[in-house]
Amino acid sequence: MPTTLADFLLQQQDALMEAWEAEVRAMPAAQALSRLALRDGLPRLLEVVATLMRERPRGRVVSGMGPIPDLHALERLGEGFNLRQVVTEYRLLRGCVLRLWTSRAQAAPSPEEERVFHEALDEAMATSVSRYTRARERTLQALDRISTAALGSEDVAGFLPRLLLVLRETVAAVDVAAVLLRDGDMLRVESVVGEGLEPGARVPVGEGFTGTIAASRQPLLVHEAGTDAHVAERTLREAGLRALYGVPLVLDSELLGVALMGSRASSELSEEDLLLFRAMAARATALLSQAQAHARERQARAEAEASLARLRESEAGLRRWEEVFTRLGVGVAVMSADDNVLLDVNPAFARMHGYTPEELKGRPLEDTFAPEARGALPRHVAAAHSKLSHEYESLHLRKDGSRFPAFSHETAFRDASGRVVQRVATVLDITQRRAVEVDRQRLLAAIEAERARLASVLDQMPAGVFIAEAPGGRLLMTNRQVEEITGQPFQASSPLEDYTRSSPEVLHPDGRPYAPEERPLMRSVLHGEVVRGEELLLPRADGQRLTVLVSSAPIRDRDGAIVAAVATMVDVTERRRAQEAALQAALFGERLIAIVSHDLRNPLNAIQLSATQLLHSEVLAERERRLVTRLARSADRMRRMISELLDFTRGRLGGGIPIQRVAGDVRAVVRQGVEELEAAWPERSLRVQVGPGRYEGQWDADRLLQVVSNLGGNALQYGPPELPVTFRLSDAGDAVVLEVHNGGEPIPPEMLPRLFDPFRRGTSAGHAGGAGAGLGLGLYIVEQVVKGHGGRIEAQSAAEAGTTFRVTLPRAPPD
Amino acid sequence: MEISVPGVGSVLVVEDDADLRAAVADILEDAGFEVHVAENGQDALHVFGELGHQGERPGLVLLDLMMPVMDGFAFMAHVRADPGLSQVPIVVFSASVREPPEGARAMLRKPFEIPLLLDTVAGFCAQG
Repeated sequence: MPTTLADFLLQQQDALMEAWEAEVRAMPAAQALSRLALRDGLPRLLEVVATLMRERPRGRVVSGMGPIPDLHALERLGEGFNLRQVVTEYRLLRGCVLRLWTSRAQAAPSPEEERVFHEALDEAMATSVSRYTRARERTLQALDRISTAALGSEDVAGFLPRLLLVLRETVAAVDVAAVLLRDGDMLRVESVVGEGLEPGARVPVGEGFTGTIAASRQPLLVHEAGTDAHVAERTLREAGLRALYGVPLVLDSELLGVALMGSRASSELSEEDLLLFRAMAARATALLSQAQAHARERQARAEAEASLARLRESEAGLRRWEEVFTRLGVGVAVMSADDNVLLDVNPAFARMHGYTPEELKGRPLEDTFAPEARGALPRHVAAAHSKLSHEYESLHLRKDGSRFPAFSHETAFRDASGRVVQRVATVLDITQRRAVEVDRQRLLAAIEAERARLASVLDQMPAGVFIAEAPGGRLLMTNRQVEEITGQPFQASSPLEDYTRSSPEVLHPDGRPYAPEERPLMRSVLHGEVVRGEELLLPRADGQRLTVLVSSAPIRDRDGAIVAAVATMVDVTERRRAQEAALQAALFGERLIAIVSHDLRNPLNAIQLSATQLLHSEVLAERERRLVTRLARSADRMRRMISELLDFTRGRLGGGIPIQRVAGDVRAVVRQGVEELEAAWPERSLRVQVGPGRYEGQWDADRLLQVVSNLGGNALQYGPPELPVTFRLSDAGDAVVLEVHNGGEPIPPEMLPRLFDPFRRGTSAGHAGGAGAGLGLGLYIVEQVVKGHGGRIEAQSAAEAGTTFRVTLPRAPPD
Repeated sequence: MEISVPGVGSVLVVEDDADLRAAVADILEDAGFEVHVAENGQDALHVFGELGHQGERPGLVLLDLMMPVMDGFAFMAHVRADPGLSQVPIVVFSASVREPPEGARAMLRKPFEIPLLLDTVAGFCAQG
């Protein structure tokens, strides 16, 4: 048996601790602790107390306890013991020691030993309480700051950096602090203060320092992070850290992440700092969890709101469709696929059939069809089923028995297996459309009739006719003559370009080919040009080249827009040939005129001049003088004949005898003519009667002299020598009238109408004999001269009145 | 028959028809005019040139219009362009025109008769 309390404490340590443990376990805070954790530093404490008791009085109780009570207080603070429980532990230990000592030793300890024992326990208790209180105060302050820091931000990203800042400010030795959050099998650096870790860096759970803490869910402390085997993370190894401490962040057995703190200056971290760090980590865990829960809740709320919004939207959509269904002007019916019963109809469908929607629901679709149209219904149903959608027209039946044509579009709806479950039909009453269609047909028939009439009219036309539509020039219609002229069969309605391409040799009169758009019809179609009588050369199928005159004009609608163009084509090949021949004849005539007027007159003039000169000679005998006189008279006759022939030729070929009007007095012309006639007919009596009035005007005096001379010559020639020839002038306002009268035998009536024809001669040779006879062109030339002046000439002849030629001459040329 | 003509001078007759040219020349010579003849315009210019060398100049030109080589119109254009000749009066005789063309003082329409020929020529030569 031990003799001293000190020996007893050392020898009965296990028994003491077991007895103590049995009593301490009654405290709730102690129940969760392992034996080792529960006993903590207390066995060592008992050894120290025993040593102090033996060393008495040399030993100093107050300073001899070492760090044990301090550490124990921090442990207990970390394990959640309250101050009373910490004190109760020491009280129970004291009670156990004393009770067992009394029961086993059977003797009281020495007073000195007992005093030291109590003093040591009191001192340990005081130290622990003090330490506990101080540490708890600091922890509480730090946690308070953490809570304050967390208050401002609900999200993890916001509050973690503040938490770490608080940590570094609270624990002086800490240079680096970081929080890593778990993301599946990885840990991701979420937030860092100080240098050594990169935000966003990832570490697998189970690897390295951080991964080990996460996998074991136990705190881990290393003293030289740069060399310690636990620290595999390169960044941590190279961060220049010595002490490195990490704790898992665990809430309700779920690992949220790992918190780290490290020191560059020190390889040690005080127990209090570690405790504080653990406390802060625990609090951070709660806040983290809370923040994550917040985030999840926010997300869930957002999702809920979104889905609610979708729901609302879809409800609105549904209402909208209902609205459409109800208000649609087109009839809509929903039918079951198997028995063709109307499941639902909209008001429009019911209305067009003369029912209310309720009356129709549940009835067979067939009821809405006219009996005579029901036979086709199965076919339409089958088509809608097989094609998914089917359109058809049929005759529907109203409630009152009347019928109406309808256009239906049916769509089949299928379930997931592809079976048709129902069909929807939209139905349109097409009564109006049918009526319009009938009208249209009638109109078309009318147009066709018009067209046929137009075609037959066109076929009767002597010209070829083309009608082409704008804007492309498609040929709408041609007539028979086109084919006859061109010798080419037509395909009506072929574009004009096709037609023109099929006859590419259409040419200008000078031989240049026509471009397709240059042709008259196309010019009218394209530009609205009106073409009048354009001449072009057209090859016939038989190789002949025709000359045609083409005219064309646009056809415009009420607004003036060109809708078509029409062209006519006349074959003028023959006409052109005749004109060409006439031109050649005219040219020949011109040459004849030149020959007659110039080449013949020169020798004639030479004969005349020479004969006259000879007559003036005094050496001629009487016989020779008669011969030369005959020569001169014949030359004179020849001169007159040439002159008449020239005038006739000019009149025939040159478009009439040329008239050159000069202002003058017709009385002077008449007097000159009469004087010349008197000289030629010295034995005859000529009278001039001039009525009152004006006789000025615009005329060709030389030509009028010819008129006076010819008419007077005729009158002298055909009138009896004993009767005078009378020239009578009278003013007729805008004209002057000249009458030449002779008595004697009248002109036979049958001759009167052809009096002015060329190459006519009187039946009697007249009194001048053959010597005065010309070519019978005199009256013809007179008429030509009068006509050239815009005047007229008439002849009257009767037995009693004699013969009168009456010439009416306008004073001025006609406008 | 004597025909007295006041102011006798020289006349150049330009006519391609040899008979007519000779007839006109005879009549004018019988009437006392000095007559030169030419077959056409070019020939006439040549005659002008020869006369010019002798210091002479015709007092009148009787000019046919339709002639080979150089016709009357071309001849008149030449004469008008030559300051030494432009003052010589020209009378044309023609069957094809009715009015004296530009550059001609008067016209004799073929066929003409002797009195008209002599009157016309005498009128110009008297003035010259």
